[in-house]
Amino acid sequence: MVFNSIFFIFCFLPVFMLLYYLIPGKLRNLLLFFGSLIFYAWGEPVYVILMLFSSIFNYYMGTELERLYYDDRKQKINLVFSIVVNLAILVFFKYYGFLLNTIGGITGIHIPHPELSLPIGLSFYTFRNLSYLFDIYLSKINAQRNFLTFAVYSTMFPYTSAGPIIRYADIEEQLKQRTINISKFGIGAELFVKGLAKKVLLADNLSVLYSGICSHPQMSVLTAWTGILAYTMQLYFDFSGYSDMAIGLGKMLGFDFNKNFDYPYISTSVSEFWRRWHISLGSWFRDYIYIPLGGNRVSPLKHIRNILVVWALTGLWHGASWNFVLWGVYYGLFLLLEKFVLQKYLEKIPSWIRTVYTMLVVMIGWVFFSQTDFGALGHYLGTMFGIGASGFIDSTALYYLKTGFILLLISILACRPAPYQYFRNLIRRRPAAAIIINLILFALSVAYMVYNSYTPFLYAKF
Amino acid sequence: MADTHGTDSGVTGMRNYLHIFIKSGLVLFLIAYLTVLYTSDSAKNIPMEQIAQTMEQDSDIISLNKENRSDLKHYYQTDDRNIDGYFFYKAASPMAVEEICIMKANDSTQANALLENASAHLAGQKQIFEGYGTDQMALLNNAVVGKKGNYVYYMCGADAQNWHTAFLSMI
Amino acid sequence: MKKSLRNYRLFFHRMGLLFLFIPLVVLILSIILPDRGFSEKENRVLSSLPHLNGSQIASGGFEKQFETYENDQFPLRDLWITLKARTDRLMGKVESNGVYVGKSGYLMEEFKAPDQAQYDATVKAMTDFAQKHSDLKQYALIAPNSINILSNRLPAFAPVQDQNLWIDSLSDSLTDAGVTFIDVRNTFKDHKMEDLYYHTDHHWTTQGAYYAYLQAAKAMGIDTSSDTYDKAPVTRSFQGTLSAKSGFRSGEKDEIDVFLPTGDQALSSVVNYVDEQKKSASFYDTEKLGTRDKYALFFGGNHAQIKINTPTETDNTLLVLKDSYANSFVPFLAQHYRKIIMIDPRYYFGNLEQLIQVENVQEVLYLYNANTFFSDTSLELALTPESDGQDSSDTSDNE
Repeated sequence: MVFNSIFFIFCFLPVFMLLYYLIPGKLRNLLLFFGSLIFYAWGEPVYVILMLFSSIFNYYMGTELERLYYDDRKQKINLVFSIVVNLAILVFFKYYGFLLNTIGGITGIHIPHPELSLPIGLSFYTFRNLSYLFDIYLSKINAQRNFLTFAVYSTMFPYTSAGPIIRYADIEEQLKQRTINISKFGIGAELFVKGLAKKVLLADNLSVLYSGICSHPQMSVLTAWTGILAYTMQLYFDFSGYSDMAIGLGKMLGFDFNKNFDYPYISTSVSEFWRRWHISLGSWFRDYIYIPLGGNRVSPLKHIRNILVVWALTGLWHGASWNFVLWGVYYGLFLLLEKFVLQKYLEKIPSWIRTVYTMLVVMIGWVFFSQTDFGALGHYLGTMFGIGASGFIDSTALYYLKTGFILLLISILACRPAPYQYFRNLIRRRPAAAIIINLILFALSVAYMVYNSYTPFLYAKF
Repeated sequence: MADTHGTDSGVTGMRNYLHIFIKSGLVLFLIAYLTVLYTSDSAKNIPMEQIAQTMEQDSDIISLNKENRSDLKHYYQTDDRNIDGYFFYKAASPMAVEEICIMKANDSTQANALLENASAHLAGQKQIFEGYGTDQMALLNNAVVGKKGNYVYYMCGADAQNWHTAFLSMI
Repeated sequence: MKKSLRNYRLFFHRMGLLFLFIPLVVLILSIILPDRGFSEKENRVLSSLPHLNGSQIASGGFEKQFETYENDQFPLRDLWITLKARTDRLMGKVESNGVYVGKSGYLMEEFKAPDQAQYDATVKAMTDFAQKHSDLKQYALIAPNSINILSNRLPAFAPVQDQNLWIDSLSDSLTDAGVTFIDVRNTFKDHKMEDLYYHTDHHWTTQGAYYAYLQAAKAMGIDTSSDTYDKAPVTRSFQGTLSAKSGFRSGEKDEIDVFLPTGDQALSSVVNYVDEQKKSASFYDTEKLGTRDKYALFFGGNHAQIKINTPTETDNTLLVLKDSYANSFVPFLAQHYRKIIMIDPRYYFGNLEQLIQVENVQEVLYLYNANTFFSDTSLELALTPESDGQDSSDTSDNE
């Protein structure tokens, strides 16, 4: 099930929420657990067993790590054991083909393997459960004795399929005790409507624009830049929209999750960008890989190594392909560059130039993210800078700029905090108007979702 | 802050065995689960000519009509150039339902599409003979339609089960 | 100060109520309201409640079917689709699902260059057939689409591929093999201020078909001097495939005309729908005017095989390998051939060689529109039913 579907919004959600608000508080976690299992199994009937296994395994290992608190050696062995099992599952489904192909590329031995589909949310729940185990090992939290409570943390439907990667430590209290009321539900609904509009009205249409551009093998410089601009906007509204919906749903259930995106495209440096983009992932890598490796409290050489390792892994997490590793390392290098070289220069430049610099780095980075084939990747990047391009400007470029102009303009404006601050003021001054705006956004989103299933049967008549 | 546990060595000793037992059990379950997933859809990569050679040893099959690519398009909505080979025999008479068709797809997405077409074909045949062809309905109800790896098959006939076993043993 | 805080609280409270109850109300509505069957707008039967089935649930099939069912039966579905199309236009979108919004109310379908392998296979099939049947007179009329002839009405800078290059290449290949290629492009350009194509549909108008016919007649040696026709409109509320496919211009309507032969010498034909085992004295199925796809007026749409017999003086038989453009064209030929056999290779799975022998075919006409022809995979299959590598003359073993 996905949030941006008619079935979720007009079937699953109303039924679930009605039950959630009517049943006594003690039974809410039970309902939430079963509801989440149904939510997950609806899309992945076979792999729900895997997710359950992960919850049971990590629940049990959490209690084990706590039990062995006084035996350092045994605790460490058990930690390694649980990491290995969790990562084995992840590698088996996500990286198996990647590893075999890479080995095959180097040694020439081609090992055939069946293509297994990737279970939904595997990367997310693996990292979520690992964060729980690490926090117990680091004595930051106590293990959760109650399986149901832990299982709710591990599988809850708002963040199960696409994050954010919420830490157990952050919601430990809320798992046991949380307030729900209509106003909090309303806060969640507001976030959900905003996220839905971002995904359905902006991201999906930007995706159409981008794939239209990509259907032309030969591009002019302007076409290529228009395309990557559309892609840049698409990714932001897609991920942040989905995160907004997740956090909004959390609020409806009485949970307060930390935000996952903080207007990343207004950043004035690459370092700042990564404090604003996919915050839950960045902090996961910082807390559980970067800092344990020593972070920046080691020799400069080791510090550089730490950064590059973390960023290669961050890239790899996004996809089982070398272009993602390249994307990650690209950012690692820029972060190092900023830290050791550019910092003092950046401080002297006006902030709008710094924003342009940051966005250029980000947009070029997205080119590495967009294609798995290095040839196609190189071709696109080259075209952006005039190599292999069919001119600087051509009619195709003008066509896409003309037809996509309003969409791109709205997208660029919607990246900034200003429209949202304006809306908050509107709530205070004219709440009725604000409600009407939300209803319009919601209605338009419904129209676009209904249209996705619009399949006129014409071919027989052709 | 972590809890402390009882330090009675006898109880701890037994508890240790219990914990190791649980951990091994969990790992074994995982391995079993992954193995089942892995093997349920794997198939050896055998060329269709070889499969055809073996299957044609069955006289019941070659007594049927050997179908061509136009028929493949007709009944399975598939162009033979898009797939990696096919093996297709069908009874000549429209009143008979004996049919064996094995198609080899190029990837799993295509295989899924072919499976849908084969299932639709079976459903269509059942609809045609429902209520007036008891012999045909019996054969259709025992027909085997499925997918293994990138192979999709439709087998209908008195020997359908044998054909199925023979085919699966090859891949 | 206090008022703004009160507004704040009010806003979230109301939002909460609205978004708790609106989906609930919609859910109840969609359960209470009866399921819709056939959708005129989408020209298909909307899905109904799927059956509960253990293996289907385990495979995920039931879930997908249920979601499709929910989507299809969503209240006011057609209204939402129109809203989406209108919003798109407001945002500046000029294309949807491969259909461009052009000037003067035209919707035009884009041309996609064919897959080279498929195109080569089709051309090879046609040229091999031509060589094999060198005793038959062969013609090919591959009509250009509106995106070609009316290209000046496309939205500014629209990146459409050039259909002409492909038509030129096809013309050369076929002419080399002895097939007479009937090229109506210049004729159409001369008449392009008239309505040669429907505004909302991908077909040519009967007027357009008539101009094509006049040119084809010259190439095929038909004497059109005794042809007289009366142009009669049969409907003015035709909404075609392109408005359905794109969702745009849903209010626009087209007129369909039929050209009825006048004069004492006009012969009447018998139309035999072979698979349906039905005979008719008219080319026109007027019942279709009550449905959405009014172009199906011509021969009731596409059939695998249609035989037309007309008591002409000359005993000639024409085989037409066609798509739906032929449906409004063939009536003009009926006055000049004793027997016309229309075969649509997308639905015909019989033996073409046998048909040619049995029916004593003397002339063959390929009649397609360029968009369909260049994406077609069935013609090649019908001309060469045997797998590649087999000698096509060796057909006697199989049947």
